Amino acid sequence: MVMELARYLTVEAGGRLMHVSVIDRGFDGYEVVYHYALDHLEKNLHLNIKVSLPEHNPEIESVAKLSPEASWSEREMMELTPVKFINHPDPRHLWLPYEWPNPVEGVDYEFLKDRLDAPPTQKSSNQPSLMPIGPYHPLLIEGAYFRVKLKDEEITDVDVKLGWNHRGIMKLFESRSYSRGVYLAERICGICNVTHTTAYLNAVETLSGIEVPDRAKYIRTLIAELERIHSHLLWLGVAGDLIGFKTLFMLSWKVREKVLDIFEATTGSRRTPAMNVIGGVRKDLAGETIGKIERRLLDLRGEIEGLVKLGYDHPLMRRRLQDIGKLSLSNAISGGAVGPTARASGWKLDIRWSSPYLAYADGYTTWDLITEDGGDVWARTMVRLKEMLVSIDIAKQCLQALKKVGGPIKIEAVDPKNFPYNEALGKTEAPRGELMYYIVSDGTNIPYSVRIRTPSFRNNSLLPKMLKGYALADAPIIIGSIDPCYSCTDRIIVIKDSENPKGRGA
Amino acid sequence: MNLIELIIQATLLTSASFIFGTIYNYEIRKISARLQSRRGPWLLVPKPLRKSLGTTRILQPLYDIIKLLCKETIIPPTARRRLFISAPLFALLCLVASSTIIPIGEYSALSSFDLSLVALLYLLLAVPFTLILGGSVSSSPWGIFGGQREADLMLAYETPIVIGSFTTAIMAGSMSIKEIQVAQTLSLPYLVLNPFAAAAVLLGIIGKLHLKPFDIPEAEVEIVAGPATEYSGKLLGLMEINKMLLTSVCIGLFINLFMAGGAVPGVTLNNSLTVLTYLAEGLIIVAVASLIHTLNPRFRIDQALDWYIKTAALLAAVGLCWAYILRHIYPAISG
Amino acid sequence: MKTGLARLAKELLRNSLRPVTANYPAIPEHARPHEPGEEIRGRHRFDVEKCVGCGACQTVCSSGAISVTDSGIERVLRIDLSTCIFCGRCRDICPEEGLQLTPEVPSAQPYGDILKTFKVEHSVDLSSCVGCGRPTYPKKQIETVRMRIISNLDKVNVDSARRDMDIYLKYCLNCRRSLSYIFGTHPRKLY
Repeated sequence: MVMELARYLTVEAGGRLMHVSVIDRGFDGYEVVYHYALDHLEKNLHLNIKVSLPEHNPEIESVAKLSPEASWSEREMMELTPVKFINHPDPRHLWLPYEWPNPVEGVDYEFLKDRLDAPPTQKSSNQPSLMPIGPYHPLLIEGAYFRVKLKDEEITDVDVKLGWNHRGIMKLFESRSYSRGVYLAERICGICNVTHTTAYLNAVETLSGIEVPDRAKYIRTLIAELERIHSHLLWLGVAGDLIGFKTLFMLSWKVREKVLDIFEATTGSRRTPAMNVIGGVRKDLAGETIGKIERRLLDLRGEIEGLVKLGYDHPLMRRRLQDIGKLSLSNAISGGAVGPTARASGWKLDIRWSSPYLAYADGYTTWDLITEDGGDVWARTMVRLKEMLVSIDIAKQCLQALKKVGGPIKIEAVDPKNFPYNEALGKTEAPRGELMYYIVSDGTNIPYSVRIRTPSFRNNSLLPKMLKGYALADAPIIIGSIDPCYSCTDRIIVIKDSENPKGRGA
Repeated sequence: MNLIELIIQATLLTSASFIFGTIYNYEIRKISARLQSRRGPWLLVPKPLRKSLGTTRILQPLYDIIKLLCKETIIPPTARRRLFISAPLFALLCLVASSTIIPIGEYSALSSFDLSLVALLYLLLAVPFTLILGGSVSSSPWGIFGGQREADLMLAYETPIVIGSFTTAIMAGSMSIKEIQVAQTLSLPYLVLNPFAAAAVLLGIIGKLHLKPFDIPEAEVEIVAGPATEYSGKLLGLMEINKMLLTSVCIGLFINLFMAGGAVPGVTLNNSLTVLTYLAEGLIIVAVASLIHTLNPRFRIDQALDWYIKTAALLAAVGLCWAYILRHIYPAISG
Repeated sequence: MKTGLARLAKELLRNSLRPVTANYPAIPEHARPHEPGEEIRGRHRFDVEKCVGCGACQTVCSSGAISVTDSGIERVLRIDLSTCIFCGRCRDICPEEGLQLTPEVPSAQPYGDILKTFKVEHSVDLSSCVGCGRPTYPKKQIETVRMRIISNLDKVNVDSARRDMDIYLKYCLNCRRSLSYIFGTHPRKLY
């Protein structure tokens, strides 16, 4: 039944499977929820399919063969909960160590016996064929593990394993009230704080049926777009460092400091601005502050255009970045790419456009959607650089609107006993792609369950396709071009034994 | 000169070479920092800190080496111990020998024997081999990869250096470095007479010193540290000493072959002041190299080979033909 | 293509005269340390006049960094800056504006110094119950509550409220319960 529905939604209706969540209902068993996004048909249209499974021996057929984008989501849920997805193509552990606590049945663990060092022998050819990139490697800012199989300098196969940055965030959400959860959501990632709080609050405000006043929408949008500029500038510096261009690293981070100064002057902190609260924003922007930000944005625009020109004019940057890491449009759609990774392959996918929230809808601001063809690293670079200019445009429009729109910046707190719904989905367009929060409530002021699907989770699963066939020298920049944020990707561990159903939280 | 003088001059030349190499490396760090809007190590320490930090930090690379020499050395158990340890030692030996062949001003311990240019080029060729060897026996896939890349790059950058150096030998009519230097004081410096060969040798030296865009064997984001990955402590300090000496020897080679070894006729000819002009010319060349180092990202290895053959080797060949033209058409100038 | 390199070289040469980093260790005459904006959420400061010691900051703290401990007739409010996440909820909820966040951001220092400097403390006096002698509420809080009630009530009820507060606010909760028959507030007495 689920398979027919999934086939219809994916193949004929063209929907995207965002995530597969499993909610633990205690004695009522387990609930498997398939989240489909049909927002190419109508704005903000989503579909959740819920399947209830019994408490003992919960098993369900895996949809991963039909839609490869579900593959990682099902692996994650198989580790968190005792639910088994039958006929999954790759049921190995994704977060936990490969053979702990129990080896997965049906998996051949021979590959763990490969040698990772290359001892000198008397034999003539000592060419290593297995390069362990990670978990500690100068290429990665955070921990991740890529087992790269090589033939001379060409990559033949890549196996990705994550989980070094897990902090038990989904479990922590379940023991904190909604208003405290905002500050927890902020600290999942150091680069995209604002967008995590925005997505969380989108879900909580939908749950409680409140709508944020207009002035607060504009302020939230302004902060979110400033964060997008800062994140892309950070990425540009890191990408420069990955091709050895340390000067670009210093130049782009020098420009980024100007964005952080704007944050510091208006919100009180360079990162983790903590402006968003349930019902609106915490602080208002005075008239002279708005004038100051407008002047700084003008300077910023000039500097960013200089960086764009640098990318086009420097002879070596193009040579290093073009024609590597290609992701074709069909691979992007079937693998479920999101964000600039998808837009660089020609797919017009942007949550700000297809499910507008805050001040992105028509009537509030108008802006361009940037796509590029080519699907290589150069296209992703150009998408991000041009998006920064679009973000400055949106920020300017918000500032203009803030001068005219008055009203409150916050709606007072809502009694959680009167929540009209008991589950909600909140989505935003993070700098890296589509970020989704799924919150299930039980009528108290503490959420029952929170499930997060970050954009890097999706883009990392596409890395093996992007890396095959290219030289090892290109591997760092290809890995860097999807803007991997492992702090976003590894969030959760809740270890639930089938013998000990109460679960050990971690 | 007799044996004792030879030994004293050789020691002085080696230590001067090491100090000059330290100053050149400091200059690379300072210039690339300033171009990137950073500050780099202090050239003149501000007064409140002079008591604890000294007046200048121009010997900062030396302090880093001393720190490394005081640390624990860890040798991987599956590596080949003897080759692992003797690779940087052999490189040190070659570099000490080379620095006695490069004359600094009027102090020229061994540079005046015939074929000293050939001996120097041979010794300089041996240094990348020790890197490749050290990387391959260190039982780490990063070392093997780094060694492989160094081998590929070596084919690329040695060609322009060798052809360019022999071009100056043709122009001067001798294979002895001292005589090439003296020949330039009688006519014009070869930088002016044959800029093609000079450009070729300079580009080759930038590759040899692993400055960007050619720091491929040391690319840390791809292969951690290349051949030097498993080296630590005293052996790594030894490799850093080799780097200082290599910088000084290569720059010294360029100055002697193309800029008359710092001698300015009428002012500093065969005088102790030549040492100062030698250092000044070295600083100018290193400044040009640091500018190129700061401006560029890193090449990929196949792109580097491509570029070297299309640009640097071509320039060297043009310089060679130009030298023949000069020698036969204008014998008076080239002497 | 080469013009791109030339333009970059010109910009880099211009950069060399204006570094954006400060010397370390920072000496004010030789460095240009970054002045934090006034809005920045840094070290806490209790306003000695305004803080009444109610402990609202402790209830709302996101990370449990604020602790309120009573010992004897003194209540100590302690903020542990190593647990604090500098969210500012304590400052927002304080009803008396007695807790401010200054622009002084706590920075790295040797561990021995951290034990001394990474905390902010404030103590208020507790008033003792006239009946049993046990400590009840902070003196300032009782004063503030009394003044607020008197200034916000209309003339008709002010005098009776004042008389009630003069009697009841001196006792602790247990004594008020055991003396309720005498005070006339016991529910059975109303029938």
